[in-house]
Amino acid sequence: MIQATVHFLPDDLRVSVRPGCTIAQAAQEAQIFLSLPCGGRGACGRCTVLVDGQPVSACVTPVTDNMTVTVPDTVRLAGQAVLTDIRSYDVTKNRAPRVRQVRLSMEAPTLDDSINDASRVTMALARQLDIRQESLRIEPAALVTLPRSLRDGDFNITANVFYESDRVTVLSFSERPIYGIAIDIGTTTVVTALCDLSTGLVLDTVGQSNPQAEYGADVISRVVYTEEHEGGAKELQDMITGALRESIVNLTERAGIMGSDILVAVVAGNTVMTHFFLNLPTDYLRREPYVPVACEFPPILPGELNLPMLPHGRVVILPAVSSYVGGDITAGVIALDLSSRPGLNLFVDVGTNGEMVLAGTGFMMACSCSAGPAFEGSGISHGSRAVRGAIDNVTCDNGQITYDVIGGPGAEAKSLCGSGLISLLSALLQKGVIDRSGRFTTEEKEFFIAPGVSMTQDDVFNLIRAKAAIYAGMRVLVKNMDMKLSGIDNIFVSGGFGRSLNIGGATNIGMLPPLPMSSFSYEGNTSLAGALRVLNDRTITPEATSGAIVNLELSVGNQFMEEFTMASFLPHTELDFFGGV
Amino acid sequence: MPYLTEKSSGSISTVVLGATKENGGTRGYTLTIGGQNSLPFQNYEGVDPHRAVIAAEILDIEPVSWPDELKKAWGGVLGDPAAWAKKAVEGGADMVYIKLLSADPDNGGRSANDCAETVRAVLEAVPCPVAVQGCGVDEIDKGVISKVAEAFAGENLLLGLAGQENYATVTAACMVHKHTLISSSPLDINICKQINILISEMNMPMNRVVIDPSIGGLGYGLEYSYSVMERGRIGSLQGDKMLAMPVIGFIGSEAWKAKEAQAHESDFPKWGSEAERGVLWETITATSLLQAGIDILVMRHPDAINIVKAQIEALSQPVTAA
Repeated sequence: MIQATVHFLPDDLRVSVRPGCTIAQAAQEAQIFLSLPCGGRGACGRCTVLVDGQPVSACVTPVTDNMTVTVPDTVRLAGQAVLTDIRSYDVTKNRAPRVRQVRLSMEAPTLDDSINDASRVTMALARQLDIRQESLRIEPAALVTLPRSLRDGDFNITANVFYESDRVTVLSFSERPIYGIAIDIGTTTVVTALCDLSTGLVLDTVGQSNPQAEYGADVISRVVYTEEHEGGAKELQDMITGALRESIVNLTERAGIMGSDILVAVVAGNTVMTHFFLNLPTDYLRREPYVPVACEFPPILPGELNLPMLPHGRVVILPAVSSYVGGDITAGVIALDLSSRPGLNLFVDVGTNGEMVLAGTGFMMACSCSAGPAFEGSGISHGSRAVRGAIDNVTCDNGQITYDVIGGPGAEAKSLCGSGLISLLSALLQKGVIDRSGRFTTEEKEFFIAPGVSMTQDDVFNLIRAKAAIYAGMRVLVKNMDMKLSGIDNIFVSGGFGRSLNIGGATNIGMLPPLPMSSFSYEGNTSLAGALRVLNDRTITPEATSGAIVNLELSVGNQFMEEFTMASFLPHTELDFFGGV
Repeated sequence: MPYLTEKSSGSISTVVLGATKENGGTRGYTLTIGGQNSLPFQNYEGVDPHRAVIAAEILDIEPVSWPDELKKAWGGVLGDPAAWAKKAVEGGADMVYIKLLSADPDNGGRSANDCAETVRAVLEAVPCPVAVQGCGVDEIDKGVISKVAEAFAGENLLLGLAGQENYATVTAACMVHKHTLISSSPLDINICKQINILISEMNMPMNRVVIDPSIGGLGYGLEYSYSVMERGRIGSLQGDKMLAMPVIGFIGSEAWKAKEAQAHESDFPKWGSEAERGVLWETITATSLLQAGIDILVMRHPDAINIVKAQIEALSQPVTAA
C-alpha cells in the first residue's frame, strides 16, 4: 500500500500514513494532539496549521506525500493547565480504610488438619477482621501465588483486603506498601492522584488534557462522533485509557513504585465521560428524554482496560445521578459532606458545564445547566485555562484597571483564565466600558487589557450567557424547594477558574448571589477530592449518596429560560437583590 | 359584609405628552396618562386618574399595501401626512403617531432633514401631542430621531423606539431636547425591565418613559401579549419601579396583519362583510388590551378608533362598591 510521509514542524517528526487521511489524524500518529473544538467538521478554524506556509484546517485537509506541516503552539492540546487543586480532600475525615493490609499467622497444615490453603487463610482472616467467613473471598488470580507465599513465610502472610459493597475480597498477598489512584475524568482534563492507602495521604498528582478533546471540546460533539464513525466509541475509550496509562506510569516512575502495588483506582467523571470510559453507547444520552445506559457501575478489573496496576485489583466507578449529573458531582457531594452538613448548602461545579446540588435537611436536589466552557477559556478570544501568562485577577480602582498574571511580574500577559475573565467583566462594568446588558458604550467594541489580550463584544455576551445559565440553575433549584437564594448558608464553588475564584467579581456580575463573603468557599477539584475520600474510607457508600440526590431536569417547562433571561444582565434584572441601581 | 378590595403598594408613573407654549412647545393641549395604583378600570380599589388615549397611526409614505377597507376609510389623505393627521384628529383621535418609514433605503431613503420637515408639517396641522418613530433600521433611526429631537426641542414629542441596541442614542436625544421616549422590548417582560434599567441609569426621568412591550393582534398572539402586559402591570403595582410606566401598543398594525381582518367576502363568504370585520378585529384587539392596562393605543381605522374611544369612556365611569 502506498504511504504518504508527513513532516511536522517544529517538532521535526515524520510519520507515514495512508493518503487521504487528514492532517489531524497524521498529527495524532506523530503524537501531536491538536485542539479540534468543532469535532473535526472543519467549522471553527481553530486547528489552523501551515502547509508550505499556507493556512489550512488540519481536521479536514487530507495529507499528500512529502507534505510539511507547521503546527503552531496555539492549536495544540498539550500544555493546558489542569486542576490538581485538592484542597477539599480532608484526610482526617477518613474513618475506616477501604483497603487494608492484614498480617496473618497460621498453623501449617498437617495430616490431621489438611484444610485447603484458601480456607485456612479465610478462616484466619475472618477471625482477625471479626467478620463471617462467608463474606470473604480471595480473588482467583491471588490464589496462584498463595501456596508458595504461605510456605515461604512459614504460614505468616500479609493479605491485602478490599471492602466491596457486599463482601470483603483479598486482592493480593504481599507485604509491599499498598497504593491507590483517584481519577477525575473531566471533559477537558484528566487528573490522577497517587495515594498511600495505609495513611490516605496523596503523594503526587498528574494532570493532562483529555485526548478526546480532539473530537470536540464539548461532550455532544464527541457523542456525535461515536454515532458517525464506526468503532468511534472504542476509539474514545482507547484514548482515555491511553491517557490514564500514561498518567499512572508517570506517577509510579516518579514515586519509584511498581504498578502492581496500585491495588485500587476510583474514577469520578461526568456521565458521558463514564460511558466513554466503559465503552457504553451514548446515543440515547443526548436525545430526549436523555437516558443513560446505567447510573451505577460494578467495579471492573484494571487488567480489562490494560491499566498499569494490579491486573486483578479494582477500578471503582462512582455512580451518576442522571445523564448530565455524573459521578463527578456524586464525588463533590461526598468531598463536601453535603448530605450531613447542617443548614442549607449549595454546591456549584463550574467545569465544561455547570452542575449544582442544593442540600438541606433531608434532601439533595441537583441540576445541570448548559453554561458552556466559557470560564475555562473556551470560546473566548483570549481565554485560556490557568496557564503561565494568564491574567487571573483584574481590579478597577478609580477607573484605573490593573491585573495579575500567573507566573508573577516577570510573566508576559498572554491570555485570560476563568477568574481573570470574571474580574475583567466586573471591572469593565464598574468602569462603564460596558453597560448592564454587556454592550460596549465606547466607540471601540473591544477592550485591550494588555498588548494582544482583549475582550470583544462576543466574549462579553458569551460570558454573560455562561454566568446567566449558572445563576438561573441556582434560582430554579431553590424555587423548586420553595426557598430563596438569600436563605443559603454556604455556597461551595468548584471548578478550574484559576488559582482561586474572584468571589467579589462573581457576585458583581451576578454569577453568584450577593451573599456575605463568608458564605462562599472555593473548593478546587471536588471530583478528585471525592474520589480520594471513596478510595480511603469504606464507610462511604457512593450509591447511597447518588441515590439520595433528586435530579431536576431544566429542559422541562420554561422556568429555566425565564430565569436565564432575567440573569442575562449585569448583575441581574432584579437589581434590588444585588444592592440596587 | 365588607367589600374586599386589593390595595397596591406601587403606582404607575404619570406621563405628560406634548407641551404647550408655556412649557416650551407649540401644542394646543397636552395629554396625561398613567398614575394608576389599581388594575384598569378598578377605580373602587385605587385611583385610575387618566383614561387611555388613542393615537392615529400616520405613515409618511402612501400605504399602498393596506387593505382596501382601510384605504377607503381615509379617503384621499393617505399620501399627505399633515392632511391625514388633521383628518384623524378631527375624526376623534386623541393624538397622532407618525412612522417615518421613508427614511428606510428600501422606501426611498429620505434624509433626516426631509423627515423632520414631515414632522413639522404634521405639528403645524394638528394641535395634539405627536409621537414619532423612525423606520426601524437602527443605524438610520439614530440620525433621524436625533434630528427630529433637535428640530423640535421642547415639544415633548413621544419618540421611539428605544430598544436594546439603540437605547443610548434615543435616550440621549430625548434627554437633551426634552422629549418623552418609548422603551421597546420583544414580548419579554425581563428584557422590558432591563431596557428600562439601562435608560434610567442614563438619568432619564422615568416619568418621561412609555413602555412598548410588543403585542400580537387577535388570533396572532393576543393572549400572550395580554399576559405580558398584565404581568408588567401587576409587577408595577406590587412595587417594581422599573416596570411602572404607561404602556403603548401598536393595535392597528398588528390587527390588520391578520388574514381574517383583510380577506374579501368574495373569497370567504362565511366570514361576513369585510367592511365590518376589519374594524371589529382591530376593536377587539384594542378592548382586550385595555383590560391588561394599555395606556396609548396606536390604531388605524377611524371607525375602530371611535368605537374604542366610546368603550374607554363607558368603562371609565366611576364604579361604586357593591
